[in-house]
Amino acid sequence: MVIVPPRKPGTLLALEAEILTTALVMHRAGHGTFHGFGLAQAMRQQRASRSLTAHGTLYKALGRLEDFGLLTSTWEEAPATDGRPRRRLYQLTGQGIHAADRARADQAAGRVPRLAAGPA
Amino acid sequence: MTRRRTERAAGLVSRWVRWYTRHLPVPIAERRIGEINADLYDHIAHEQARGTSDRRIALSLLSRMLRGLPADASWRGRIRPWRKDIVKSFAAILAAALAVAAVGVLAILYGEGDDAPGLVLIGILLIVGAFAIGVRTAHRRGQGVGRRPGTDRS
Repeated sequence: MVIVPPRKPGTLLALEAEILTTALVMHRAGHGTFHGFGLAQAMRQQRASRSLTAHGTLYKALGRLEDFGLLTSTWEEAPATDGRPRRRLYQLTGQGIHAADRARADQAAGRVPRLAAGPA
Repeated sequence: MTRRRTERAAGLVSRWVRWYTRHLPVPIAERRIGEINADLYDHIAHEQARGTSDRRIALSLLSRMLRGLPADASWRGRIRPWRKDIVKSFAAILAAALAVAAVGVLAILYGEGDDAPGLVLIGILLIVGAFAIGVRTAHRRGQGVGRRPGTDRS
């Protein structure tokens, strides 16, 4: 179980920053949208971990990022023919792309990733 | 290859999601249930395509569910705060303790014999925690029943 430290005002939690930076990598690789498991899998590969992010933790964080206006989501239009359930597809917003870039820069500089632009 | 363990683990995850989304506004509950169903499907398909064993897939599903329990509970609590009368109800607390103990037993069963000491440890902690909560609740209930109205001098 992961104990999430309380959030400092105006900052992103580590998981939120990880989601945004992973989504940015996928976005720049030409994947405009992503779904929950695909994101969890990409995050696992990036941190070379054996375990996938827990369901509750992942979808709760995605919901928060959507509330912040950094992501949008819609259901897949039609279910797949092979019986696969419809996926919820997420996309970085323009604000989300800026936040992801800033989070990467903050992490590289050893700072806590910020939610909004501010003094460095 | 038998897929029984994977099916059981996926069924347990689905039941858990349905349980903690009950009585929530329908669009919110349906979204969470739909997302987890799609995630389970994708996860299982991905692991089976890689040739991962049935036991490992089941373990991975259960591990993701168990590690996400606190987030699930707080997410639900934020949308619809747990009612005090339900939370404080003796029967509900004992039922919750039994459910937690059952999840602990499952965790130990899945973790045993595999290289997943973390899951076994989580299972043991869940059982010990559930036992402690049950004993404490029963003790408080006993004190409450033994005390007659008007005799409390504290």
